[in-house]
Amino acid sequence: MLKKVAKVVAFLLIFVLGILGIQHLLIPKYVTDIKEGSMIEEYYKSEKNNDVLFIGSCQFFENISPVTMWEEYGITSYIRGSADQYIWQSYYLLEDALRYETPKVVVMNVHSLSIKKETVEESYNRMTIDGMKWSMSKVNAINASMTKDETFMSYLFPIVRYHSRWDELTEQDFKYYFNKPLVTTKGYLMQVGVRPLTTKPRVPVLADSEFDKENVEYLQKAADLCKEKGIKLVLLKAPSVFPHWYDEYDEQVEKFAKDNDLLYINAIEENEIIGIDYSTDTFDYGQHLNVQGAEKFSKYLGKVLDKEYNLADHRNDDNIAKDWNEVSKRYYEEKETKLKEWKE
Amino acid sequence: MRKKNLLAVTLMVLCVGLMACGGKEKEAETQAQTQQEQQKAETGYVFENKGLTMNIDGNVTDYVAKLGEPSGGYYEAKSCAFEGLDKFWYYDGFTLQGYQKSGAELVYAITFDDDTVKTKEGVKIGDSKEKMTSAYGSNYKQDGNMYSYVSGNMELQFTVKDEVVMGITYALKAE
Repeated sequence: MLKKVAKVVAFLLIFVLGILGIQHLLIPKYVTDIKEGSMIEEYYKSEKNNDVLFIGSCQFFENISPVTMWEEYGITSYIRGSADQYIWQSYYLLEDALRYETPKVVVMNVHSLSIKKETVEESYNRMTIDGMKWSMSKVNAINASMTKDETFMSYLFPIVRYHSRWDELTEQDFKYYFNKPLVTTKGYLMQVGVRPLTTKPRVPVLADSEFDKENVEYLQKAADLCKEKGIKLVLLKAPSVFPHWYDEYDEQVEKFAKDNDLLYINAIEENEIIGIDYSTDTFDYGQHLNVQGAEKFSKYLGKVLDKEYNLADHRNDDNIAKDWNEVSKRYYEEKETKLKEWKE
Repeated sequence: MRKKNLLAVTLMVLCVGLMACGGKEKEAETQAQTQQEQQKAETGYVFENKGLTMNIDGNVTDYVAKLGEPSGGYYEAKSCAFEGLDKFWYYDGFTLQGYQKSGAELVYAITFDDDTVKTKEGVKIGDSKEKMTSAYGSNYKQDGNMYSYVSGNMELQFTVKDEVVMGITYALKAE
């Protein structure tokens, strides 16, 4: 009898492992294409000793270089970034990160306040949520993010979502089955091209300039959580010329910052001080910065954060510097390779 | 040995099932797309400028060729992670916005930028809400300041503040 039970258990175990194995194969690897899909899970592989945590979308992970802030000021930081990261996802990513570390400063992207919930896309949900480790933060992020056509089950068992990829599998899916290389340096996704801003985009009239109430509620939850943990929360609008950052948006963030006694940095207004030149410092006509622009912006941002919060300079702390020196080395190798490819 | 065979057969059945399921899903997606395309055959409200009639999902490449170089320039914006661009041609008084679908460049939106252009039915920025309802009726969908008239595959959207039309956009109907 016992032997029979053992055989059944062994069969079930092999069956489940087989399913999990197939599931892992079918989930996109996001290593060479759409690298943004790898960013959330990459955080778990990093050192968790950051003084500053940035949480936001491409306006953060393509505009801020943590390596530059390390080199200039000895600030340790990480960007928990993902494509089109919605504000409720930023909140749950913050909650998730605080399970591993307690930074001194958290910087959140206010651009996401302007995103309307009805424009949420499943593909972006997956790129942010799939990479999160399981916790109540992930469960809540799923529930807050799902579009009407999505199911919780598809997040619990991604094979439900990706089973139809069987005929789209590429060499990548097998090559990176067990181990994926890092696609970022401390959350920064490097872009080196130069596509100058030659046409200033027109600004359409807004039918509704008020942030969704729910978006503001999530920002409030983030502010409350940071306050509870003794973390300084900073609100940041990163430099960009498109999509337009309306005065009405700016006023609402200013008011929120004032009501909650927070620092709000609108980098668009600081453009001259930062020194961004949209004829050389952008890879996509002013929507995001290239590495040259990101380094300029990071020097400015590091200076502001250092001055406001008197952050420690860790460059002489051997334990921390060892990791950062390795990251810096990788950063410059990547920069050199990509610049060479771009020039060709 | 028989058990091993049974296990192998079970896994194969599972894989074939998944593949079949994926195939069926893709077939259903294709059918749905065809249906949507058929529904979008209706052009809805159209915009006329310099003798050219433009409609949502019309061929933007043809329109641009006929309208000539945009006086306000051209701008393109990429999506946050995926392939594909939103393209903007800035003409006198209006913006033509294109998108890619099935390899073609189509019109996604036409947005009025000032009061030098008007709809085919005669409404322009700065007109009263009353003029809008006289031209299009009261069968609109309202969302805050936005009044939308749905027709075919598109919506003609009016942004109205203090009873005055502040913005006009021909847009692809939200799915």
